[in-house]
Amino acid sequence: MQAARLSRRAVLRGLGTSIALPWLEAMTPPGGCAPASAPLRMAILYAPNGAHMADWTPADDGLKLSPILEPLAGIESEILVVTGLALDPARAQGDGGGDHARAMASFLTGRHPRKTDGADLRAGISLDQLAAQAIGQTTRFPSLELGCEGGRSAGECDHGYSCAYQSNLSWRSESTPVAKEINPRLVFDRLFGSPQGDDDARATRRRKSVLDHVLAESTRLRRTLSTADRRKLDEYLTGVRELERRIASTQPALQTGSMPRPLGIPADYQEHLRLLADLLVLALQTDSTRIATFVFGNDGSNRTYPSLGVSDGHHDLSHHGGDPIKQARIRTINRFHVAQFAYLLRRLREVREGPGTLLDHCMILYGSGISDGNRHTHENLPVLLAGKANGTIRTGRHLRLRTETPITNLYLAMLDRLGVACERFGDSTGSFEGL
Amino acid sequence: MKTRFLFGLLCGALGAAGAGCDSQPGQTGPCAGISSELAPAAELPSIEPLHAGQAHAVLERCCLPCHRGPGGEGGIDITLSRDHALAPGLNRAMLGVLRSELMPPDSAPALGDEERGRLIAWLEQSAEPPASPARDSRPTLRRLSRDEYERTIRDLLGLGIRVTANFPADDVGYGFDRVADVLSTSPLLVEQEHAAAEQAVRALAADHHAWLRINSPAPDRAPLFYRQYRAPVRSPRENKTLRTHPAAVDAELVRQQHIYDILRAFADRAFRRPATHDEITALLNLVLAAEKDGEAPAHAIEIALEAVLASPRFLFRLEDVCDESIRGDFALAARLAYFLWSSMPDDELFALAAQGVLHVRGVLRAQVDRMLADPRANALAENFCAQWLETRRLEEQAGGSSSFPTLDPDLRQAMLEETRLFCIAILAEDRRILDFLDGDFTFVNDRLARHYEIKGDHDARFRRVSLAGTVRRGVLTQASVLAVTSSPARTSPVKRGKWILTNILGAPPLPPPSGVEAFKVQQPSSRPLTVREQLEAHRSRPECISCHDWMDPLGFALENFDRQGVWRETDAGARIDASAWLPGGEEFSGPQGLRDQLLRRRSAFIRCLAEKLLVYALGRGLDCNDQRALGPIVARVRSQGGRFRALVHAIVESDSFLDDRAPAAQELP
Repeated sequence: MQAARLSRRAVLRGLGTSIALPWLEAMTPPGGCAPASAPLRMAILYAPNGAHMADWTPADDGLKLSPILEPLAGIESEILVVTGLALDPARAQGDGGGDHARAMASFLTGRHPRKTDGADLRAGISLDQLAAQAIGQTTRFPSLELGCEGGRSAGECDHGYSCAYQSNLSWRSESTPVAKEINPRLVFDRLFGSPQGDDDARATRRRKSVLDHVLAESTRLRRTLSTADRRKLDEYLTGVRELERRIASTQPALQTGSMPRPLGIPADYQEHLRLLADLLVLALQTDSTRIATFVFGNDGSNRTYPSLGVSDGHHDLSHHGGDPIKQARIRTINRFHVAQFAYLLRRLREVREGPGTLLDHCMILYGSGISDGNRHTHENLPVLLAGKANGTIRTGRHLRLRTETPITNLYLAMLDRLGVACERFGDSTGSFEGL
Repeated sequence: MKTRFLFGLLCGALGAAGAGCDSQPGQTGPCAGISSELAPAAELPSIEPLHAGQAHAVLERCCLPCHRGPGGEGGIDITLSRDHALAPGLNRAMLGVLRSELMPPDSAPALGDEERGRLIAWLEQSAEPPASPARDSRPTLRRLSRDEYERTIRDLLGLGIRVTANFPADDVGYGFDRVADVLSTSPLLVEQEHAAAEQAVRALAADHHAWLRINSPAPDRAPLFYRQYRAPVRSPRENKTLRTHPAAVDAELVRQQHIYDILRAFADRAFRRPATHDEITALLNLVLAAEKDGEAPAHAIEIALEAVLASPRFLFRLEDVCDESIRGDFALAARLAYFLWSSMPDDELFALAAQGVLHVRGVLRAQVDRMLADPRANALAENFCAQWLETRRLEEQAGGSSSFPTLDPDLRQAMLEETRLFCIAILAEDRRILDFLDGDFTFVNDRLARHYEIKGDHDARFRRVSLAGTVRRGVLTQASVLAVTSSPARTSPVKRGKWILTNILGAPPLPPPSGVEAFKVQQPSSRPLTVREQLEAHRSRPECISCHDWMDPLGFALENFDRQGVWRETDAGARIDASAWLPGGEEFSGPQGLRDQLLRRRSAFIRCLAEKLLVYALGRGLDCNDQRALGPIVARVRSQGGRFRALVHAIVESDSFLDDRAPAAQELP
């Protein structure tokens, strides 16, 4: 196949839009020896404010979908509903209110965040970033962080917790959250290059000389700084190195299917979610990254859903106080989010990869750090797993666990499947059985 | 039961976050007494704290009748322990309610102003020890925020370009997006910063005038010791290119000296302090290497300029961390500029810093006045006010959640513009700080005039109008504030009450306990309930009332303003009841009544504003020394007529602001 040996740039130029080829063909060397197995990808999707659990949890251990999970009809065989997981670090533990900030900050870190409005932020490294640091160097992007909303721009976020806790799911280190990209156009440009940028050899050389200069200067500078200041500078240096690695990388992103360059952030929320989902599929398909997070909404989000006929804010509604009308609206919002998840899964399943589908080579976690939004509970979380993870997860079931099973135990099992050795993570208590 | 009690205890008290020395766990440094250079004793009599015995007597008289023992009112127990200490957390909660005069209630034995002041001083003095070990309280290295980056690029290049549209949003801490610990740098941001550097330099090269300015560097004014290694390209031995072409040495030397000067002048301004010879030489080498690679000379310089903009010395406020200049004047110049302009210092500030005289009191005062008179000071009104008042949340955020979906864009824009112009007026005209509460003017265009039912000829332009004869006064009745404190579909007296306690009185309510259930719906009623009636259900629960009895009534007073700030007489078909009361039981009604109550507590308001402005100025949470500096700042402002500029001067001249810098880099491992 000729195209497979073309440079990524050439493909882009030729078609105006990006075209992707599945990784298998991309990686097949001209000699023709296919790699032994497809790489495993992991993505975590976060939905805010918990769920109306009475309509979430399937009644039995089988495939009968609950009202909220109905949008998964037709792909339930790809799903594992997990009931009984808990997020103990999100509980107050003497720190009072702030469950939304804690839910978001602890969901992937498994650590109880330090209560501070700014000074000395502390959570923990997140599941995705730990994986990215271990296996991310093989792809153009160690990881991808996507989301639909930025942070709050003023005022208090959640009872004395800095907004950084509530607007970030991924943490590169215990003190450094990773900002998410919310603009589909910029995600596209990062993945496939901007059509406006003059990405020729000369521009690349110029960029490289600037980066070299900055790295050398920073390294000298670093020696004169205190520990705390070094940490700040290191955040920058990490970014510069990543940029440099990407510029140096000649690895072509090979492509099938076509996606026009998005114009920006769509006004319609569903459109926004789907564009980002499309880009996520493309990123995984082209093996541009194997690790991603995708935040549907920051926890505590008070978004309204006019297209669903919901004019109250999501967070306001989640404190329904038993009002059946409000509960019905919460259910509507939950179903909507699950439907977007289903869209992503269908897209992943459409991509053929070797003898199976891209979804077969994924493990996708969907969930929230709160279960009952009315009372801010953190046990029996709404959690779904999707994708067979290269045959290591048996899907099409409802897995009931002992209540209070730390969700971090599940993370250990996921890390294990990615080949990342890790004995403890966050508040994990042991290995996870039943996948 | 225990949790229930604890809840009552926390919730019943109004805690002023950041009001006491125990309030910033992990951040409190050693609490040395503040040296009050700015408040000479002759000018401002300092308040003498009560002696312990006197304080105990006052507590016995004014507080303990209600708050004694575990069954104390609102779950608050002020009984002192055996070693005469208050229960943990109470100190700061009491400071909040005493300063804002929300306690003791009128029904309690009177607490005179002087006695109150001395009781507060006693509480401040007997602040609880920090909850966690003191940390190095000097500021962490802070990067430029997105907004600062934008303004700095414009001032540095002299170009009105916009380069940060794609930057990820900055996170907020202590209410502001300029807190060092919270401003982290993600790979995504680094990418965007590098792209912005490219874009900016491209725009610079394309603009004849701007490019000419950069290429005509001013003479070197830096103090000599800054460039003590200075030996710009003089010796051919230093340079291989020159050695191989001895005949061209002279011309090449002149040319390289010129490039060196261009880079020096640019880097001096970009780094906000004189660049060192090594730094400039490294940049020059970058140019020469690019030329060798075949770049045209002009393009080669562009690469070096790009490297300056991508340098951590530009992106981070490193001048604050390692400034060896006299009295740290370059750091001070930058701190001033980012406080008042959200941008870099201008040439005058740089010149004064180079002379080492910026810190001299008279020079500093004159500079602050000059800076406040400059249009760039609008940044203070725009950034500070919009975040203090939280109205920034109304701004259309790219991909932001549509929490205000029914606001049409024109109205939303008009609301924001009104508040912006109002704040600029207070600053630019050096008005009374109390105008924020009772200013009888505002700015409207036709859209907003309709919204407010203000008669007269209006068009798309904003004009100043008098509010005489209307119910509106100050920021509290501006549509922006009323909208941002509402829920998407209805008003929220809770949010409005909390907003007032937090942003006006400086006595924010403590959070509800974790896991508290939302109030149950009432039995079905024959008619829809008003917002006020719905909240009554809330307040009938004992574990909620202690807190909500503080917040809700303040919001009830504003119920005549709907969720977009339009005046209304009815809600859910019933007449609005705007009667309200204070925690102590005192009754009032409507916006006018609320305003009177707040004006009576002007001292608490000015302190609250001062506290927010100090956080904004320092870019960090306040430690106990900063807290103690607030008292003299407020006293000074009030003694000077309570005008906004007096507050800015008092903050700039406070030790917190002047000394907020590191000792020169010395912490080598």
